[in-house]
Amino acid sequence: MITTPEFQGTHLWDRLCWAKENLEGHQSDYRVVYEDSVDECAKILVPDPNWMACALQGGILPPVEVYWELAKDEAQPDFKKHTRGYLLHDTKPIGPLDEKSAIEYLIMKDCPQSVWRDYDSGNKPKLVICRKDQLPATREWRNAWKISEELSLTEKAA
Amino acid sequence: MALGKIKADTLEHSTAGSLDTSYVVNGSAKAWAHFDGTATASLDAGLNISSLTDVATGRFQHSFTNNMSDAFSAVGGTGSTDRLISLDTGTLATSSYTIETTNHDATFITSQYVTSAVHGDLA
Repeated sequence: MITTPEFQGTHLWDRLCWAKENLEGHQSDYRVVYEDSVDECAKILVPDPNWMACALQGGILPPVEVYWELAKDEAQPDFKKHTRGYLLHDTKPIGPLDEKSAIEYLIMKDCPQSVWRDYDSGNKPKLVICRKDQLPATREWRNAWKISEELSLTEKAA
Repeated sequence: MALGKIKADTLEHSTAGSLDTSYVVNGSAKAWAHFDGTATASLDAGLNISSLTDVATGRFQHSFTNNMSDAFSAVGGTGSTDRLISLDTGTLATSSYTIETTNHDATFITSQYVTSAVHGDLA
C-alpha cells in the first residue's frame, strides 16, 4: 500500500490530484437514503469513488468539522467569499477510515444537519444507510420514492 | 505527481510566444464529474467531488471535497443525445451545485451520460 505523504499545509486540491494519480478509486456498495422535506421524495447520496479512496487511505481529507466552519461562514448574510479556506489545507488531515466510518463522515459533510442530528427521533426514519441492491432497480415513480417505514436488511430501502 | 514545486509566472515557447501561468491556474477546471443518471445513479469518474446526490428525476447535486471560494462558479455540462443540461442556480453554493437534465419540453428526464465541469476559484 502506498504511503501518504505528509500533507498538512498542502492545498487540499493538490492532495486530491495526488490521490487521483496514485490511488485506485473505490466504488462503495453503500448508499444513503434520506428525506429532508415531507413534501419531497427521498434523496440518495452516492459516494464518489475517488473521495472514498482518499477516506480509506487516510492523511488526505480534513476533519469534517472544517466543512461545518465553512458552512457557518457561508450562512452569514453578508457572505461574499470564503476567507478561512486555509482550514481545509492547514488542519491536520484525518487518518484512515473504514468504509462504515467514511459513510458516516460523508453524511455529516454532505447531508443537511437537520437530517442527521436527530435522524432516529421522529415517527419514521429520516435517514437510512443501505446497499445499492436494496434500492429499486429502475427509476419508475422516482419522484414518489420515500424511505420504507418497515425497513429491514432484506427489503427495499425506498 | 511529484510534490516538488516549480515556481514560474510565465511559460515561454520558442516561437509561439509566452503565457502567464495565472491563465493556467485560474483557467483550469476545479472540479468535474461523469455519472450514469439512469437506474441507480453512480459516479464513474471525476475530480474534487465527494458525493453525488440523486435528488429526483433529472436532478443531481454534486458536493465538492475542496469548496469553491464563492458561489459564482461557472458550471457547464453535457448529457446524452436530446438531453439538455442546466444549472439550478438557486442551489449553487461554495460546497455544491445541482444540475438538471431535461428534454426539449423542459421536462425533467433521466440521462445515461451526464458530465459537468466547474470553473472558478478554490477556497
